[in-house]
Amino acid sequence: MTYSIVAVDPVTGARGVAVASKALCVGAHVPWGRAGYGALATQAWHDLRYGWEGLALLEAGNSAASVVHLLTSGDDDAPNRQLGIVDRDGRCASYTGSRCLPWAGGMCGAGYAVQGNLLAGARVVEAMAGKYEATAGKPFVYRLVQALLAGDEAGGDRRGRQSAAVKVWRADPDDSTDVDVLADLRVDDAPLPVHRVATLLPILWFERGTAQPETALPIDRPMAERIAAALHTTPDTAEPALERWAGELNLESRLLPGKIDRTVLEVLETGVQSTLDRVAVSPPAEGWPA
Amino acid sequence: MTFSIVAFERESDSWGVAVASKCLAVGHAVPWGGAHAGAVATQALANLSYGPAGVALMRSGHAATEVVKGLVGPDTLASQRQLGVVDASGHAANHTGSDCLPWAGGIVDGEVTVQGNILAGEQVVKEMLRAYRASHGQLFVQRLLRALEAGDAAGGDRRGKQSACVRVWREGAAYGGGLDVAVDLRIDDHAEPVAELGRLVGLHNLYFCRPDPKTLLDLDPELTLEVKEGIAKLGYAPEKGFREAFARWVGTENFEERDVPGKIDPLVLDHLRRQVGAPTR
Repeated sequence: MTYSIVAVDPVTGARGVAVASKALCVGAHVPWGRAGYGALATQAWHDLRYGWEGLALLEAGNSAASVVHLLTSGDDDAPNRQLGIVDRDGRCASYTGSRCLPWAGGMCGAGYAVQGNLLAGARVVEAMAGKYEATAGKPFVYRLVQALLAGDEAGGDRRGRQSAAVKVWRADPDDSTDVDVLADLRVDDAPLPVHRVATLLPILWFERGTAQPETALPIDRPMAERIAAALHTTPDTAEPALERWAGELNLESRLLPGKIDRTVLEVLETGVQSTLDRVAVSPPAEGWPA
Repeated sequence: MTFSIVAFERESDSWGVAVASKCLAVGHAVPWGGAHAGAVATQALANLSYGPAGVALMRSGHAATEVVKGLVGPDTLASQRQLGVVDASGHAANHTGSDCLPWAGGIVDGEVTVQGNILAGEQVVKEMLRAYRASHGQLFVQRLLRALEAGDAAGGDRRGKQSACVRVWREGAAYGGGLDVAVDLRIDDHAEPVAELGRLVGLHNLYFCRPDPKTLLDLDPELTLEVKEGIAKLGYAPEKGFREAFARWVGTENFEERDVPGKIDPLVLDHLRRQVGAPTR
């Protein structure tokens, strides 16, 4: 019915879940997480209580393995359930109840758990694990989606395709007053949902990405003239005009005082679509929200 | 940038938010809520912490107007924020900061608040409210959708269309009864997100609502033959009899809630006919 990967980013400590299923809006039910404490996927004959009770147990400091034990013991339907968990310290656990419909199973590697049920075969989770490991060094959200794509290509849910999602929670619970989700993409009903999620990644990078202050260019007189020319304004009003233009394109998060981010300059001078096309072909190493 | 409706419906004891925007995955940021707490839409230069903080304030008994004051008051960027709030007892309030890009504003009307920014004009929120009121009697989720459709038709976000979302909270509502989220549907990136969201609401009702007993059709020999041939065409041959093959198809399509022995739900039959390319009646 469903296959998922739950993982911790070895670089940033962010935690994420990517999932796909022949079911409507899998992203609304399966992924759960809390910044700094862990993430989990609850699936098969899933119990939503596993979501918030699992998070509470993770917050209380339980390990991934003991959260599995605490959730499943005392649950008469435990044999029908499936879980993947990564805890506060990055330890993983994958649980598949004995009555989950075949093929059902999962495995853990360093910093990740992959699991699924009603799958085309064990090769689905093996392909996910292999792809996740092979993409080490790439942006985390990109790795999660690549793992999902590998599962899809290996046969995925043997009943077909309907929905997919990827969600990433920040590493540090006290990092910000804002909420703790860095990336959250869903495709609730589509013929090729995993591929659709993959096509949303360049837009995620574009709209939710972060400015790169190290490579940003100062808005000196020549730069103000370039900006003014692109925005049909005067150099003296270039910076406020830039802010307004960026706001309309959802690029606020890439604004820097007195400087212009290189991506912002690229979009300004070459347009949105050309920038998205470039990112789709060659995902940048920098500037991802997760 | 965004238009939304936040409402409480007494008849169904439900809280809901529907929202559309020219941005990626608006459903990730704007709608927040909880049964017997209330609901919040946080938008414009959205302060996402308004969502969980607002719901927590209402859970501890604060009224919508207090929540708006409590959130916006200490916020140095208040002039760029917009939010709509409906509390546990169904009182509504909203805030549109003076620096929100025009047209920006909102209307509070009883247990409903509609608001938006970077809109085609005030008619967007007026039409949303009118459509919500006019759809009284439909399912709550459909009424929220009617409001979005009306806002869209009235010009919506003046920059264009990209994403939409509808969420409804009701005590013990979700699959398995373990959670208060009754509906949570999202279109993250689409040329016609509101229309596409309407399609999802139709699917959601198909999967999760029980069939109307009055409309169930008897699986008489003629209909049985049609269904048997239809599912056989889709690869569900009656190796162990029709009933077993039909149950397998029902399981694959997630129609368990609508499966009644000896009968077939006309909505399920339509779905099968669409799958096999036969005309729906």
